[in-house]
Amino acid sequence: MKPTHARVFFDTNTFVYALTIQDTSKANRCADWLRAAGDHSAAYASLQVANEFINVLFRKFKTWSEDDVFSAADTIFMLSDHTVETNTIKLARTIRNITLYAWWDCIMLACAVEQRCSHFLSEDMAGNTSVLGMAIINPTAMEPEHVFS
Amino acid sequence: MLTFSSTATHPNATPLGKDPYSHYFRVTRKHENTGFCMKNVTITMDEHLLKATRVAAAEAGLSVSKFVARAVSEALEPKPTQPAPYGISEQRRLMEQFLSGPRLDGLLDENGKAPSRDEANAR
Repeated sequence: MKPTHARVFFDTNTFVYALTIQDTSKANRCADWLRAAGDHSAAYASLQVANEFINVLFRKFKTWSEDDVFSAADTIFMLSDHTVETNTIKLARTIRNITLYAWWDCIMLACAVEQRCSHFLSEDMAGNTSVLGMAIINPTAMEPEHVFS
Repeated sequence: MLTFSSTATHPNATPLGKDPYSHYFRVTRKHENTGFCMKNVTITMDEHLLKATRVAAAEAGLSVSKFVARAVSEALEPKPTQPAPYGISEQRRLMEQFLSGPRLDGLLDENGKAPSRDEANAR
């Protein structure tokens, strides 16, 4: 396994897809991404991702116990060694000016840029675009080998 | 964007330091891409290192300021992440733990989409 410069940020939907049983193809692909990034210690997230994951499960998926939800979210928290500060918000404003993405998307992107991520995995914002040098890619449409070759 | 303001003498100058020919310029530069201001800092280094820095900056065709900023930027560049020297990495172990947990059924909508950001942040 070769060393890599890639630093991959995982958006909330990537974690949701990785656990779904409704779409095996998406689940397997997102699980592949998580494993590949994990192999290289190159996976990043943010507290916003962890909080969205928890909120979605609490609101829309009531069959899991709170322990199940928090246990799964603990993994995301472990990837979130980043604090949102004033400069994060300034950067989000810059990204908003550039992209016109929704505000919560801009904050998420700012967190990824501040962590010097090279790739941002999200189904929602993908379109072969990049923001401040960070590529936004749809994890279900690309194999991790393209990044972790 | 550059903004200049000038005073006849350095604002911290002592009376003995008055010099009718010296001007102190405060320069604020806005980064073209981010809009953030470039900050002035004072650094301390020994004479030999300063001399070597000036020579290296000149050889690189840069001012000392730009040379030092570039060196700091390079020092902060992410290093290539190395696979775990043996066995499974800590992150891979975390991922396996996450993926081996209970599965989600019914969270995707009729089009197979995960909840949107708005839904994820709804009260």
